[in-house]
Amino acid sequence: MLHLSAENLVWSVDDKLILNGIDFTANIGETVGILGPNGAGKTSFLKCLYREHTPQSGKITLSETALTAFTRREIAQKISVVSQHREAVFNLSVLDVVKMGLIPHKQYFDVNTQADYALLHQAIERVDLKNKKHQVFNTLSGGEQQRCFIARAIVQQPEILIMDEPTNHLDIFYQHQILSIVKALDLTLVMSIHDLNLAALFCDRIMLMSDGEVLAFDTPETVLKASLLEQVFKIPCVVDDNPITGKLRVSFGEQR
Amino acid sequence: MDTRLPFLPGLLALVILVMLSLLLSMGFGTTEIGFSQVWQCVSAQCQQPIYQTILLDIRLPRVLMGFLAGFALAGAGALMQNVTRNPLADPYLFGIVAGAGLGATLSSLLPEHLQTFSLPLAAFLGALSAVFIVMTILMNNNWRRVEHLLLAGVAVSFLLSAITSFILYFGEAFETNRVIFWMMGSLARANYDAIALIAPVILVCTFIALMFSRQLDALLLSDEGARTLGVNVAFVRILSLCVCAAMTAVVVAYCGGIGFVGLMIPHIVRPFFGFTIAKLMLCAGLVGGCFLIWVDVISRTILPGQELPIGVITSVIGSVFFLFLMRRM
Repeated sequence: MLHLSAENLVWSVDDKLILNGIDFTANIGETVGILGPNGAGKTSFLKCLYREHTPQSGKITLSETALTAFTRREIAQKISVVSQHREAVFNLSVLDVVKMGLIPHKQYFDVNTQADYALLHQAIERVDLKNKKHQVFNTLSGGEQQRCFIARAIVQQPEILIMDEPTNHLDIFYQHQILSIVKALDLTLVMSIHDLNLAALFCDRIMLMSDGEVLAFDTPETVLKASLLEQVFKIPCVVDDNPITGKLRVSFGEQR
Repeated sequence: MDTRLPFLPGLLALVILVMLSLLLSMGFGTTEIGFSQVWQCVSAQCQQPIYQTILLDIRLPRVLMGFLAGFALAGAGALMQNVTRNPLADPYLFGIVAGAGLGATLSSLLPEHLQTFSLPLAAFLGALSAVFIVMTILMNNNWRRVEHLLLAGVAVSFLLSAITSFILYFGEAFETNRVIFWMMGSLARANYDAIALIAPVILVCTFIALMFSRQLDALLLSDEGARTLGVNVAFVRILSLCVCAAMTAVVVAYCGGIGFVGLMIPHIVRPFFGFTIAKLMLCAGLVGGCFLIWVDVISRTILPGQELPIGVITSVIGSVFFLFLMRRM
């Protein structure tokens, strides 16, 4: 069933076309990966999906209703975002950050209930930060900060999770750990991602973008073709099977 | 190291500290009065009628005003720093003091018999005008970013200060002195009427800030992050600016320029009570109130027979603190 979709989305900045007629769908419970080289428009597209950018034309629908029909608060109750931002000016604790996930569900002067605290601790436990909940957010490693944001997203209790390059700057262990955690949440997941092998392993469908346009949008087996990838990333490419996972494996590079 | 204190016991301790400060500080001044006498005057009847006048008519409004001014400036500072995510922000950033200074200067041009009442009023109107100018600039240019807010505030502040200096330069010497002394800050103007005006403003402003505390906390990471949590960032930021402006303007109008309280007190409080606005604003307010009560004691006792402007002392302490803060940043 259709959960989040975009139809003929156009977004430009100062006459520079960033997104040119994007059609997109994400079904309930599906993991959709957005792939493409730098400057392809992946982040801009995600920002349109959570209404940070307002497209000049086109339509975004959330559960069959136009996104513009929802208030920001209603969107926040349904869509949680883990963006690339990684810095806090003040020394917020892990608990302070995770607690922010409660905001869309609270009215003025609402106090945190026992159930809220249970949810907070459950989320922190789920991302394995129990021993660091009082630690200053800025002192966490990149992977821990990412897990902290995922805990906040869990507390937000969304239907859809949007992540912008969630595995950026993380080592191979954390890359797999982060994606395994979010995959286990059973949400509709839309994420931009640079690592094609991770996309092949974790995504149900992949949208390949270049220069603000969609080149292909289908299962990893259909999209991850050597000829298409070579055209987009401009580097020789071989696609075969990963002997461990059985999923596709993409290798890039010139022969030496 | 986790230095945070449990909130409610910590708050209670601060309230007790404020109560003690209010009582103890009343004993200090040109005439030293023992604590037992102060207690007797406050709780029952003064032994000597002169103590009644000194303690209840002169010193009590003064220490209460000190507490309120400190509470407002530190609370507004905490709010301003959180909302702009700028540890160096303070309530004076938006030209509030410069505006108040210009208002006071303009009032000095009025006929003498009007001046006693007009100075606080003119200062208040000047402060509000400054904020109004900053807001108009922001809105007309559709400037939404925090940096725009800070830069517009600094620019307006300089402009208003320059106009003030221009008027004072050509002004009559006595009036110029009066305005300059007022700008250095003093609690000598304190009276129950002023308190009756200031206290409700501070109460309402604090109430509004607490009402939006979750939304304000969402701003601590980034504007975009706050929007994804459903917060109307532009509205919350402008509301906070109005709250800060009102709190600071009423204080500045009666007490003149008391610098650095809004900047440094929140930094002192954060390690113990955390960063979220509800706890921070209340605790910074109480610590700020306490701080100003004792700074005023210093200002009226350090030089025999005369008072030192309170703004001078807070600025001296504040500058040293500022340098200390920079070393840690």
